[in-house]
Amino acid sequence: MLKVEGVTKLFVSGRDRVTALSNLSMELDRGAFLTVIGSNGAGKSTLLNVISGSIAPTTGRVWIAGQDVTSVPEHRRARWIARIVQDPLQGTSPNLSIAENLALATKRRRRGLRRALPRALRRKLMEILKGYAMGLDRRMEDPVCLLSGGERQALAVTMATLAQPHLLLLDEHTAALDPHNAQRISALTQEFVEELGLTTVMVTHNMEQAIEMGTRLLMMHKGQFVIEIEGEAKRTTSVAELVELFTQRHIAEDELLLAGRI
Amino acid sequence: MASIWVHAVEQGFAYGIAALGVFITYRVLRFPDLTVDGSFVTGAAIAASLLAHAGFDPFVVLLIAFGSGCLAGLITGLLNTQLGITDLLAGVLTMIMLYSINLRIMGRPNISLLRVDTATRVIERAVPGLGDIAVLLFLAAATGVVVLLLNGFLRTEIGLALRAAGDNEAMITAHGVNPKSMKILGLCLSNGMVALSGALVAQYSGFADVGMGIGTIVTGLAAVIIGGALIRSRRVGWMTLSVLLGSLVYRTAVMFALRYGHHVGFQASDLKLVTSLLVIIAMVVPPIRERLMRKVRAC
Repeated sequence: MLKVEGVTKLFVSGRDRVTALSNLSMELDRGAFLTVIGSNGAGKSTLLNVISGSIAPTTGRVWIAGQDVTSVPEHRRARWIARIVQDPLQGTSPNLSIAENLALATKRRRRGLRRALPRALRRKLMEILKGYAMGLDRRMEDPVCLLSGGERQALAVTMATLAQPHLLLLDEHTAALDPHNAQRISALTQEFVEELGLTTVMVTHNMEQAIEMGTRLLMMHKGQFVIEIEGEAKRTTSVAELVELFTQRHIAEDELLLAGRI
Repeated sequence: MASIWVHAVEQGFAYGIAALGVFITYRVLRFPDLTVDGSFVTGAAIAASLLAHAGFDPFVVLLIAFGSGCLAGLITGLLNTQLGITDLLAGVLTMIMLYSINLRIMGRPNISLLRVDTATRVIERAVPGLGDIAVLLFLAAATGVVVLLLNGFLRTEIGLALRAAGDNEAMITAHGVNPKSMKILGLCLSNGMVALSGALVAQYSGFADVGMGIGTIVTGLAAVIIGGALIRSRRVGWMTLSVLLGSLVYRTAVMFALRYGHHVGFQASDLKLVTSLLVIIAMVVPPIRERLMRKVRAC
């Protein structure tokens, strides 16, 4: 479903160069749920940005559903990809109503001069919202800026899944929420992913969340994947084990680097 | 005596279409577009030239004027989205280019339409006995049609995408809309309406002048802001209606000021100064009031 091939991303500013991604490759099967962890600056968000098309890789290629999309602009990749970001303000349109936001999300390809919100669609959207408890179905006409962060993120998750994308990208999408709301949004996401069988890439700081969710885990460090676990091993691992593993590899790697220089 | 208030309402409608154009860029797209000062004249210039020199139908020239305004908006849109020139500067550049172009279109700084069959004269003749009221009804109907078409458009899939593009660009991109296309579309539509308004005003007042567009952005903003203060709503129908109402109130106030302002020492030439000051006050007051009253921020 998703293939990243030899992707490198350099950020250059004056004399400074930062290698955000360093010759990164990975492949993800249909229906797989990958979680990516790593510290700040490891390149997690850059990876998602390269996949979604909001930044272009310096070298390397990205494939989605068998197509090379490296040069396809972000808005055209939207036919395959749905993305939820950390900031609840970014995923929704504040001055439009809940109903209008949802209507906007139902279509990802050509838009025409048909009514955006015919009565039938309004009713359908209300039914969809009803399933998710937060009571948003009774506030269809409210502008989104009146919603709380948690409610806005719940709306963003619903919107992301409405157009039935092939690939769902989650960019620390619960990090800005309080624990209670983070829990709710995680559960909601899980529900959608399972129901629709979405192929998912989730980036997170939260190791527990990374272990809990998904079928496969990658740890990033300095623009590269340093640890991969999947299946049974992933289910049974713990935060302590992961940290231990990371420390070992990390040190080993630094020693190698030093050795190489000498 | 009564007729000057009729004139104020007539102008409120005719300039109201330009105000709706400013509403599209300023409120919907959040793009401060100065092109309008030029495109208003372009509409008037094209209408006057085609009527005076080429004998065109006065209603057909309205459509041609709309098209010319769209082109002006397209230029600003391309300067901004393709060449990366900032929004304000892109508008200013097009506006200045249009100044020369408008002079080219007219061939001289102004064209009189006194001996030409303008739309308003055709209407007056078609409905005898009503006089001014016939013109008023025509302008109200013309503006009404524009408002209804605009309402309809803003409720379509593309219209909704346009509104969202001004609201949250990142979000709209993620949902498959090219925000650049939306900007260009909005600028075309907006300037088309402004030019249409210019063509109507030229026919209504019987002349086109190369300087008649100065301050279109400010008077448009005045209408948008007055309207927004009178009707607070996020619904499409109410928002466009509020702009029209704002234009009517503004033109009535202007008529009042022109008629009675001299009692307090105003001259007609002070109008643009006063209008701009009013717009400044209207833009500054709400945030201050909010702070003073510790009101919950109405989002």
